[in-house]
Amino acid sequence: MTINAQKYLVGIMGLILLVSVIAAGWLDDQRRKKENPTAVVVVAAPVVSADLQPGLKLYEQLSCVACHGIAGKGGVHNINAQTGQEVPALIHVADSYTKPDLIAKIRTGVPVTAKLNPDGPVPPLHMPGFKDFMSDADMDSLVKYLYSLKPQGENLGF
Amino acid sequence: MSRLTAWLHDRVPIDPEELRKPLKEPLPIHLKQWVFCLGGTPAMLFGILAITGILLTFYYVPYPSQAFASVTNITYKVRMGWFIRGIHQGASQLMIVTVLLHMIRVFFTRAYRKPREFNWFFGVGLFMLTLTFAFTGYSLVYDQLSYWATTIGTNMIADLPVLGKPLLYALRGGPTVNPNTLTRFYDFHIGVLPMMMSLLIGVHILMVRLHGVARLEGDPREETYPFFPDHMLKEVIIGLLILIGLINYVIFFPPIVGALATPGDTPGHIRPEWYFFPTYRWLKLTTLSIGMAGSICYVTGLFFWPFVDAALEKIAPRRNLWLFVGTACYLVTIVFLLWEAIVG
Amino acid sequence: MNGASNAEQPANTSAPAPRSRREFLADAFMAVGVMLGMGGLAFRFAQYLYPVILPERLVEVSAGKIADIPAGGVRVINLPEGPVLLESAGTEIRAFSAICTHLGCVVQYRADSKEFVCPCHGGKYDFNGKVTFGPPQRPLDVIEVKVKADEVFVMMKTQKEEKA
Repeated sequence: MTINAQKYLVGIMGLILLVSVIAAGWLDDQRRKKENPTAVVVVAAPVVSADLQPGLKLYEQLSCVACHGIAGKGGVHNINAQTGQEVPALIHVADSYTKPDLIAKIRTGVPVTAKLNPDGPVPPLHMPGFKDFMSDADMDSLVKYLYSLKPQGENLGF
Repeated sequence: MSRLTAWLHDRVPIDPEELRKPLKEPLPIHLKQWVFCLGGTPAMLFGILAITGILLTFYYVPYPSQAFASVTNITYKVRMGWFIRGIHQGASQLMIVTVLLHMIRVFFTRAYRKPREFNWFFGVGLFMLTLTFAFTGYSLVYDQLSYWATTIGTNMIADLPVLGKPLLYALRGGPTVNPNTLTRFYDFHIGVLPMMMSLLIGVHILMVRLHGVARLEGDPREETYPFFPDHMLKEVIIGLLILIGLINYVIFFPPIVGALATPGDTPGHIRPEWYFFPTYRWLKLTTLSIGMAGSICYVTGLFFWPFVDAALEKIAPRRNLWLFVGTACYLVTIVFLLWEAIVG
Repeated sequence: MNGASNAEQPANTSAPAPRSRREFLADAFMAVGVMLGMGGLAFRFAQYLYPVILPERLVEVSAGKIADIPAGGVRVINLPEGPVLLESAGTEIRAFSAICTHLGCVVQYRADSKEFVCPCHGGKYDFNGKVTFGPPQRPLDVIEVKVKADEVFVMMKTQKEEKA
């Protein structure tokens, strides 16, 4: 290929690059509207009383917050999960789990999240089992905090 | 124009002819084949990685409870975030591939022989740096696969004789993986390694300029052609091809985010990235000590290969022992890689 | 952008050979193509870097009880949305932003002189928020107050997204 031909090739490739980049930008708008999990980084947390602080600290350090959201409010996407395609919120655990049941759930976890559509993909997020990673005392603090997440004075219909 | 040139020349006393000399460097005609352009490719990819990497640092947070969230933020919320992250990931994979291809080309054309042995050392160093870059970079994502691959990978260092444990503690910033660990890996990835890499790339290119491009063994042609514009245009075409390829790949296969790292819970199927498959497969075959010893022998052999080649030449002149030994080693490596990839 | 040397010339002349029109066109096309492509890429990088500016809206926030504001005086309250000066002026409850209009420091109340002083550059505002001294060019921003029963509410600007 002659030098001049190569120069034309370079010019054409530059234009192809331009087109690709324009396409990427156009796609960007679509992609960001569609997939939009809650970024749990810099939102201020509601004030928590002193006796619940140890539990809150565990909730953050063990990364529960990244999936279950600040104050257990949920909202994190989990594609094809039976729980409404989201990681479940924890604000009602006080009513749905006895203390031994909740402790068992946290220790065991859910190795494979149940699928909403059986033919669909396996949900990417699952509840890890913390086994003996936490002392019983720590577990008590955590459960106390989780129970406190119940909304006050609200109609508790599901 | 010449008044301006004179004004500039007073203040920056470099003879413009000296600057134009490298551009006019005559290259042996065999360099016109595309396979000989593989050297510049990893350098261009490093440039792309440096730029996209710096862009990523604007949004990435290197602290355990924030890292994963910031990666998720980049991938799904930041404008063109998936684009930058995807190009960075793609370019890193491509860089490893092109470094390997370049190394294989240099090997089979025996361009490492006297007087170019040093440049082979620098080249192997660049290869190791590239792998270290990939390892440290992968650890920053802080999803399950990334966290556990890093934990296991660093644990292997503890088994090195004598230095193992202190080295591991220094690398981790503590006995176990802790917030310090992530910060250290981040600092290596964005500070220490880029400095070393830039330096080594400069030295590597300088050595080629000093020695001139190696003549191709068995090629009698004496013709040359100039670096500028002929060869440079080739490199520009390759560079643009890489950019177009990466961008379109990312458009069709954008990056995703896995599950958040959970220190208490190792996932069922954990293994390193594909470029560590040969080592991984080998280590699974024997005890850890033999495995480590074997790996160290392999890397040492690779590093000192020009001298191994010279020794083989002395043992059996013109019998091409280098070809047999070299090919055998490459084949074993590829077999291990495929074995791990397919069977797992 | 392009070197002057012609590939066909031997390397012993320092003066560039005259470029043919064909070569010039090729050079020009190459230059334009590459600059457009790289320019587009650079533009995307710039878009990535520019922060997402969320739309601002007003939200009603509780600022405590009326009783907490000293009669004829000022209560400074630090809400998550910003610092607020609550004034009880006669029967009226007023609110100003405590942020100095000069360069953004938080002003302090001097009960003896009933004025607000900015510690950064000495700016002073009177009880009505007007500038009396110093570099500030604008009076303190007024914040809308809503009194409900015994509680004071202020309308604060926020960028937090509305909860569906």
